Amino acid sequence: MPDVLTDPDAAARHPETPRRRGRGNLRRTARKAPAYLVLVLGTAVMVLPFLASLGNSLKSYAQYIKVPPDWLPDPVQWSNYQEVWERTDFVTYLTNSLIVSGAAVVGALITSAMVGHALARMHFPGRDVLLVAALGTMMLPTVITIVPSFILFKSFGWLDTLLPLIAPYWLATPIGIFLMRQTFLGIPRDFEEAASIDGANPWQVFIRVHLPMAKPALATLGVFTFMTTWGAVLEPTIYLTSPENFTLPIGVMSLQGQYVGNDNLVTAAALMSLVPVLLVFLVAQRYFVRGVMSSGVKG
Amino acid sequence: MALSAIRPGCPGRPGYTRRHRTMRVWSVAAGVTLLAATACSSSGDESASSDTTTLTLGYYAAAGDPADTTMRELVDEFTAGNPDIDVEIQAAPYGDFFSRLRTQIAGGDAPDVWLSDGVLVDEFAARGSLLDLSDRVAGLNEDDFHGIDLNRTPDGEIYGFPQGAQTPVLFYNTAMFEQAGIDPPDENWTYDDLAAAAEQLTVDENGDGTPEVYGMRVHSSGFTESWWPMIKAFGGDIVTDDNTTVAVDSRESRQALQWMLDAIGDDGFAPDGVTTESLGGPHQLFANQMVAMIFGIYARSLPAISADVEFDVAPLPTGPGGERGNVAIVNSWVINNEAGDEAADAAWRWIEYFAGEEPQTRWAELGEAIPINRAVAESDAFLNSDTAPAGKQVFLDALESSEDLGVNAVWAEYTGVLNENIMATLDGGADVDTALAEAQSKAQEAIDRFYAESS
Repeated sequence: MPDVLTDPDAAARHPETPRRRGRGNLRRTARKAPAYLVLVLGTAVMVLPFLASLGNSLKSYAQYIKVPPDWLPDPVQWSNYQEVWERTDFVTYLTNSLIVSGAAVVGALITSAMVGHALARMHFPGRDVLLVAALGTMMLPTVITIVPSFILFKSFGWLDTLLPLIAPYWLATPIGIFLMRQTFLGIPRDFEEAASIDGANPWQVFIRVHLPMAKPALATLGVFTFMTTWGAVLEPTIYLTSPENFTLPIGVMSLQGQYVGNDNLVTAAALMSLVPVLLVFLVAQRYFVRGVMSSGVKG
Repeated sequence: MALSAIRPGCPGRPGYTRRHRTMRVWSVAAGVTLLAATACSSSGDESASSDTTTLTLGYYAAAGDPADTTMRELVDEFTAGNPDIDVEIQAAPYGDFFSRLRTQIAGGDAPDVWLSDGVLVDEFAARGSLLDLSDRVAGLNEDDFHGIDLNRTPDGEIYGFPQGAQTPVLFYNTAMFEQAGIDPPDENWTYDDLAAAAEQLTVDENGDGTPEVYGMRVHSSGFTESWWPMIKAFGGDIVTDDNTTVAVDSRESRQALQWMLDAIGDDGFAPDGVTTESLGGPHQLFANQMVAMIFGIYARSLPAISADVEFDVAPLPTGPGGERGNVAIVNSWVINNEAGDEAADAAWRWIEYFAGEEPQTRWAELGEAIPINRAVAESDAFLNSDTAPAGKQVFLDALESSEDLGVNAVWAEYTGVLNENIMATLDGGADVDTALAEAQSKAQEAIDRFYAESS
């Protein structure tokens, strides 16, 4: 079949080709129309709440609580964003959240990879018990352990600092251990044996062979950890008392009034806090999707 | 083991490998992140000079709200007048504040003095968390303040000193009353008058059977402004015997609930539970003008003012026996039982300062609570201020005849059980007799369980 892209004369030699191709495209498009319709509807379902939030963030309090609601703010109250900026120390909250999430991601990646690798590749007494125990802690709601943790961090002098939000991630997270163990289990032993023949010790096998092959899983774990710590509310609420140490979620929630809800301001603040996490997701999306798809596959 | 292979190495030294470089990068990354976390966090334990007392003070308010701003200004003025006291503020919105506080108490790290919801004072006191203020209060002239008696335990102890008072009254939309040509409510109104006016104020413009505006809100999970005063007005009781015996299962309670059910059902002048929520929730219906009347505490003025509602207030209507069922919540300052003597003294100085005329006047200007300083409450600054409602005297009159809201050590638990059962009735899913019997039985169990364990 002539290629009209690489051979400019092809179209002239076969004048019926574009028409046929056009009809073909039309038929293909018609066949795909239902799928497009579903996708458009699905997108609308996903995007409309976001657009509604955007509209709400620009309303006055009176318009915000109006029933039935107005879809568009009238007048557009841009000052809500200014008021959020003035009422809160948004840059400090953002910085604190970046520190917490950044440090937690680094810690979770390093320690979860090490523990996951040990549980997948090393043989030692009690290995399976350790794995079950680590996974078992996933079943405990945070609210159950919050008081003992509070007392522990108080004894360290860590209350009202960011350390209680970071340190647990430097002790390997259960989800991270599970994810990395599954990933390392899925790498064929041939690589390990080949490296060993070349003189690599277990540490070198981990760092130079297995870890590079686990990049998609590491990216997934990184994104999960980032999103978990970025959106955490309970622990920061309990451990942080000074506004200069607040993270973004509790900075946003601090605007919530008891009698006048300030919902328009809270919505504006929530949208402002979304921007960094959206950027991270867009940058890491490729790894994120690939990691999720491959993490459960063995062999 | 792999880890045993790690040995230190330096760039340029024999044996320095990519492995060493990787390790250094990881170590530096770990160190930097933890250092950054530490550096960017204030420890909160900056030592004050030896001749000053550091007082940690907790209260609930939204960041940057007028209440928050005013409280911080008052703290600044207090410390300026008391240079031997440093105050560290711990503020958070209501829900977050009490979530954190309960963990702080369990972990022995609660503020020295905090603002407590009045209904929670007994809960904290009964668990040994609060300092008995009885002797300190005895040094004051109690007649100068509202609410002290409401805070007194059956044994005569006082664990909380009033900060601001709330009592429900009848809020009504003056514009809707004018439009409907109805005389505004007054102190002679009965529940029958209320129902008659509410029916007239209910508007179904398109005649589809679903009103666009309702006359009254009765369905509310905030029972201080719904079934509690209504049952009392119909002659019923909720708890008796120093708030240790549940008495809600009575003929009078049934009558009150039946009045509410009629309002939602046959009379149709009040939205049911689903409609209430879909219209914005019980505490938004008056502000978004979906109802013409509510029972509301003083602080409900704030959303109504914010939404530019034209409104005023009237006394609660009287029930068949002439009762209004006035109740009050006295939000109070409490002192941590674990605060040292110096901190406790500093905390009391703060409480006395806040109860003074100048701070109370400033607080009254916010429209957040009825001033507990009687001189301020009866002054023009409060009664004749420019902000709505005009009839603020109604709140003072209600406060004078108010009972407490059945406060005891398990208030949240037992009222939760009562509310759950009564709401099940109002939602139409439960028989009134069965629900009240169940409510009484389970609520009593909750009370007995605590007091049996603590005796």
